[in-house]
Amino acid sequence: MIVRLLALLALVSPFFFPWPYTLLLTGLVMVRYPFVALAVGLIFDALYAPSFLHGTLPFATIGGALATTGAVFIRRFILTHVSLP
Amino acid sequence: MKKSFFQKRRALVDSRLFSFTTILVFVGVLFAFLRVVTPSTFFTLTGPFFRVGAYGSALTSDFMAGFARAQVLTRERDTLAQQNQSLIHQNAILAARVHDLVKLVGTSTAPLPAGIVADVLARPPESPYDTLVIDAGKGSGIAVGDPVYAEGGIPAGHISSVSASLAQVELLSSPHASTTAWVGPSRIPISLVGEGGGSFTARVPRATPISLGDSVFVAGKGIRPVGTVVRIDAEPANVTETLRIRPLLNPLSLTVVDVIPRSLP
Repeated sequence: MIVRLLALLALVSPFFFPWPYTLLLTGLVMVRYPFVALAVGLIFDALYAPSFLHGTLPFATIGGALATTGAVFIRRFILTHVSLP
Repeated sequence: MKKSFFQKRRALVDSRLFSFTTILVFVGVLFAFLRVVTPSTFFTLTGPFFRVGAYGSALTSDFMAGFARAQVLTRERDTLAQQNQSLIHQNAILAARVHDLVKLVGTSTAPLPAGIVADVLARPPESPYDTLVIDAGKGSGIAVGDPVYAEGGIPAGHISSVSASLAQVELLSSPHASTTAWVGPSRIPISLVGEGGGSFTARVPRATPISLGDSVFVAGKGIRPVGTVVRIDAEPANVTETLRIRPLLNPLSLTVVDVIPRSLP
């Protein structure tokens, strides 16, 4: 439940917190919900990218997608090979 | 008991995880979709969040200021009062010089027309792209491309997106943004390239007469300073050298900006 609340906080944090804090929060939540990185990246670009889809690359979305891919593989590895309590 | 490989893999597609993940991705995609398809509606919907964020920042700042030591604050206030007095004198001297020069040469820097003053709702470091969100939009007469100035008439950027009550400002220092400018007393033309975090760089041919501390100006109504040259990077193999320019404007502390609609004379 706490992780879900943190995930929701990560989604709204681009409005309230400096981006490094959002990154940290997303990193913490990503362990449980890898796709939060993609969602936060999309929100960042929607809110702050100067010309969304009109010139500059959506770096936050790309970064979020890469982080999500990495987190999915890591999570998959952990769940498959590590015995969690 | 040892679990089979199949059972372990099923843990990845846990239905609860999947449903919450779907919500997360849906929210992100919805934001992006609204931003692309109806930017005006997007900023109208997100406006209250930005306002709450700005209010929260102001409250936090006031709260933290309460912990500052009174003695330190008093000393700081006295120093600022002295500096202010000194600047008033300098300003008076410079104003008199300008007056004399205008009489002699017959020209002057055009004063900025009265624009639209807007509060800054979001700024770096909330924004990683060197963009601002300001509390004024089409309803106030702002349009895409209007120039934006900070306090003191320092050029800050231009409007990149606008809704009914909010607008997005792309700062001159936004990564890869390019602005025509001049540097130094001999007004050497350069192309300012934004580096993010409020800073700029520019490339000039080697042996161009530019020295550290030279001011950089941008075109517009009058010549407006944007920064000073703080470092010149030159490599023996290159025919150009890179100017590192420190901005006069700190985007992290911007609270109010002035938007000058292009429709104004």
